[in-house]
Formats: sequence, C-alpha cells, structure tokens
Amino acid sequence: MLRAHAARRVSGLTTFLLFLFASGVVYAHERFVKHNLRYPLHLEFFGRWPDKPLGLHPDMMLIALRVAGILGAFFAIWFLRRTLTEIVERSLLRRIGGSIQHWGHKLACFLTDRPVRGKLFHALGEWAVILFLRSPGLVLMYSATNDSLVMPSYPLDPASASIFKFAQVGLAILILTQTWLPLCGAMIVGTWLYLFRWGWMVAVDAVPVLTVAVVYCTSPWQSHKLAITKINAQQMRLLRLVLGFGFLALGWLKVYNHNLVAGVADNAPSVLNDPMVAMLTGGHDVTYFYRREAWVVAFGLAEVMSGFLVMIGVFSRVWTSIMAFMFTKLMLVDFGWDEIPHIYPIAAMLVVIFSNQLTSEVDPIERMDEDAWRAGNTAKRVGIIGTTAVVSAILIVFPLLYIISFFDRSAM
Amino acid sequence: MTFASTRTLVVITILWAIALFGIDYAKNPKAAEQLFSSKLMGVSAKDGKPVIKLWMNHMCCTGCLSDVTKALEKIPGIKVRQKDLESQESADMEATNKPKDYGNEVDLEITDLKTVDFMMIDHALRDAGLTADRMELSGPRHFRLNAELKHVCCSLCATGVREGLEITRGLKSQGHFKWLDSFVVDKQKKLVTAHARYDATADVNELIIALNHIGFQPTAVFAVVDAEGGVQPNSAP
Repeated sequence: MLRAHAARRVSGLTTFLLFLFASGVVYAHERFVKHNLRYPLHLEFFGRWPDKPLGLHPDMMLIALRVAGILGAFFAIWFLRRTLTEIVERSLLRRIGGSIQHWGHKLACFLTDRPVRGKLFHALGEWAVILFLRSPGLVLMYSATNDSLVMPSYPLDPASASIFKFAQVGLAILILTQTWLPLCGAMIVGTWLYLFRWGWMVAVDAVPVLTVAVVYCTSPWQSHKLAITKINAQQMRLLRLVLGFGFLALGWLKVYNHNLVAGVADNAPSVLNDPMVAMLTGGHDVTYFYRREAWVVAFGLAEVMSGFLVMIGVFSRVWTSIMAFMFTKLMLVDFGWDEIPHIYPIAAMLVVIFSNQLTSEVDPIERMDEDAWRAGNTAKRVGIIGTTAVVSAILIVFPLLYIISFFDRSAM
Repeated sequence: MTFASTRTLVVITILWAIALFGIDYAKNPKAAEQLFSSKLMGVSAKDGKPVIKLWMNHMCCTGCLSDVTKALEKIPGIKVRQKDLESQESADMEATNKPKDYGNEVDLEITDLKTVDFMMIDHALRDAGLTADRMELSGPRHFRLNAELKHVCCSLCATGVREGLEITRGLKSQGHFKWLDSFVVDKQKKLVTAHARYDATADVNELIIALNHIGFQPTAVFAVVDAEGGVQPNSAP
C-alpha cells in the first residue's frame, strides 16, 4: 500500500529535524503542564557531590548503575535470544508438545520481535494502525475544545486562540477522513517547529507527536481512497526511531527539569509508588529523605532506557508493551481524564507491539556475532556481546547525567 | 499512487510554520527580538504587574462609575481607574441613544495585591446596588487564590468542599474555570487554595460562586503570588 522509497525520501527530512532538535539549544523551561510543587525539592540531590564518584549523589549513582545494568543485560540477552529460544523450544517445549508448544513458540516470537502468526494478532495489528492514524484527529479536536494547541497542556493565547482552534479542527478533519495525509504530516511537523516559539522544552515534550507525522508523510496523496491498515518495514523503522527518540529525550528532560516532574507527582502522589520505578530507586520507604528526588531520576532514566531500546529496536515489543501499560495506568488510574490524549502514544505503541515488520539498528553487530558463532569463536562472541552491552549501557546513562549535574536548575 | 517528495514536504512544513508564527505575531505584535526572548521562553519569567478587571453587566454612564469608585475607595490596595463613559447628564436625557450593551469593564489599579480582599470588593459593590459579573485577576505568572471559610467544622465539611469543587473539572469543557490548575482544601486552616494555571487570568467570581453553590460562603479571598515553580505553603505531607 505504501511505497518504501517514499519512506526513504522522508528519512532525510527526519534526519534534518532530529539534527535541528539536537542543535536547538536555547534556555527555557516547560511552562504549561500541571507542575505546582507542593513543597520544594532538595536540590542538592541533583547537583555536584565532589567527593563522590562522577560527582553525583550516591543514590543517583546507584539508580544510574541499576539502569545501566538492565540496559546492558537486555543488550546481552538480545544477542543471545536465538540461542536461548532454541534451547527453550528444543529442550523444553518440544518435549511438552501440543498447544503449550504452539503458544510457547508464539510467545517466544513475540518477545524476540520475530513475526507472530495468527489471525487475532494480525487483526489487532490492523486495528492498531487505524487507531494510530486517526487518534491525532481526536486529540486535536479535544485540544481545540480546551483552548489548547496540540496538547491540553499548551493553552492558547486568547488573542489568536480562534484561528489556531479552527486550524486544528481543519487538520483533525483531514486526519479523520484520511485526506491528503502527506499534507497532514507536514502540518504536524510545522506545528511542532512553531512550538519552539514557546521554548525548546515545549518542543521536546512534543517530539512523540512527530511519530505519526512520519507515517503521514510517507503515505500517498490519494490516502482518502485507501484503507491503510499496514505499515511497511521502512515506515515502521522511522516510526520506531522517532517514537524511541521522543521518549529518550523526554526522559532526559525529566531529569533536567526535575521540578516539573516532581510537581506532577505532588498532584498525583500515587505515581510515586510505581513498582518499576521503585525497582530502580531501590524501594525506599516513605520516610526516605530524597524519596521524590530519587523518583524523578529513576522515572526519567527508566524513560531514557525504554526510549533508547525502542529507538534501536532491541526488544521493541517488550518495551512498548511496558510503556503502553504504564501510559494506560497513568491515564486510567493516576491522572484520569486530564490525560485522555495519552490515547495517541498508546496507539503508537500498539502499532509497534502488533507489527510483524520490526527491524533492529543493531543488526550489523548481530551479523558480526553470528559470524563468530558460525566460526565457533566463543571468545570473539563474548567480546562483541560484552563490549556492545557494557559500552552502550555506560554511554547512554552516564555522560549526560554527569553533564546535567553541572547545570543549576534551581530557578526553573 | 503519488507520493510527496522531500522538497514538497519541507516547503509545506516551513510554510505552515511561518503561517503559525505569522498569525501569532499578527495577533500579538512584538518586536522580533522579543519574540524569542528568554522572557517569552520562560527563563526567569518575571511577573507582570497585577491587574484586576471587573466586568460589570451594568455600567452605562459616569454616574455608575462614580458609585463604583465611591464604593471601592475604602478598600485597601486598590484604586478605580477612571474611563470615558457617557456622562450621567447625557445618559439622563430622553434623546440619548440606547447603547448596544449596558455593560462595561472597570479596571482597578493595584497598589498592594496582598491586601486586596475580593470578598470586600464583592460586598462593597453589592452595598452600592451593583454587582460584578466577573472579577478577573491577571499579571502574576504563578499565583493562587486563598478562600477563607468560616465554617468547616468537621472532616465531612472538608470532603464536601473538595467533592463539590470537583465540578470545576467538568465545567472546564464548558468554558468555565479554564484558569484553574488545581485546588487544595485545608480543614485545619479552613482554607480553599485554588492554584491558577501558569500565566492565566483567574475569574475570582467563578470560585466564589462555586463555593456558594456547594453551600459555603468565603469570608475573604486573597491572591498570593508564588515564585516560579514555587512552594505551596499549606500542603506539605
């Protein structure tokens, strides 16, 4: 339905936009989401601790080590996944046989991003694509009725609100009727560029919005005549890159702009008890002095980790499933109706979860690993896997955490 | 099947972004250097001067304004700004054209926001035989409204206030309470704190009417300016 070369064409645009984002360093802070701190954070936690390793607070260091450890472990398991699944399938599932073997094989395929065969899975994948392509229209309509731009957390200026609201409704109609999707994609990217007017943090906050723009831009002009229910491998790669990068950036933004995230937690304290984040913080009790501070860092780094792994295509289904669950929980349990626009990122994650077109950015390394495997060179294999896992884990977590600790964010 | 070329997509994207910037600029004209200034982007955003605007559904002539001025002159922290209106004498003549709208806005100059009690303004206007449909406070980027309640005798009262004010969430979709970020009810202090959204214009009357609707009469309503990302005083765990 959708041509691969169009996806390649737009990859140039995406690269340009990612570069623009990366180079757009100006100083500002997120202005609009609910972030009233109920009492101040202990800011020294985020600053420099000269006597400690890397000059970071010991608890922050522990959180970073845990995240790096998980990241490294996932990398290592990724390279060993075929060996591991073969062992499980041959030595365990084959002996059991029957439906358990059948479903066990499907589960293994699902967890390792291999194609999953099955009518239900296929149907859910098609439905997820339809939801993903149309849900931005609903979000835009919702934002327009709430005097906001793109997301309800960006209120419109009263002087220009009417024009922006009509523009959003117009775009939403195009999206819902699937008309001129490339135009819709370009308009979404253009709107995202406009968000820089309100500061780079606002634009970073909205990076996930670009995920759908990538698919729109690579769709045909005659989109209204088509039933688009599939996303090809090229589009899926772009989608995964932008979605993962968006959450990677959002994660670092959370660590950088700690007051905002802590303020959100102050307004919805149940998020402090999240088990996944608690695992990273070490499960401190409520009397722990730096409880909110540790939560902010753990929450941010968890998003960095999951965003990065989705971006490079390592256990994409596992991580998008976790993220989809988290977002659904935030929407239904913690924040309620205010977070109804989360339908859109959840839809994007469902598309990844139910896609049979998943690829990985670490394929070249995996090929090297396979060559070593075939050559029976175990030491080389261990070297490739170990080096990739350790170096990636260290590079993703520590340099930015170290750099951010030099910034004084007390006035944010 | 035709697809958009990268050039087409880039051109549309840039044109659309320029259009949005253009609309923004046309509706909020600012010098180019101000458009991307740190203030607008939020760095060390400074509070504007607080402004209170009263929307009076009836304010047809200088006689009305004079009564409002007289009514509010004893209230500390504010001063009624005079404006051009139809003179009372002229409005009293039979030949005077009927206005399209009898309502008008009254601006209050604020000398000290901390001392301004919005309930006193409300009472003074009512005593003068007039009412304000809206009492809008703007200027400070982060502020909250503290409504003091005389009656909060038990936990049920506090819960009643909290649950009653939950209606504000539903009313947002109907155009009300757009300014409201969140609220906190403090039983001990008998205080309802309504946090305004960042850089918002709060209609204090909406809060008073909502409290009245759920059965409570505030004795005083004060605005408190918060620091950026500031400390909320009455809700530490």
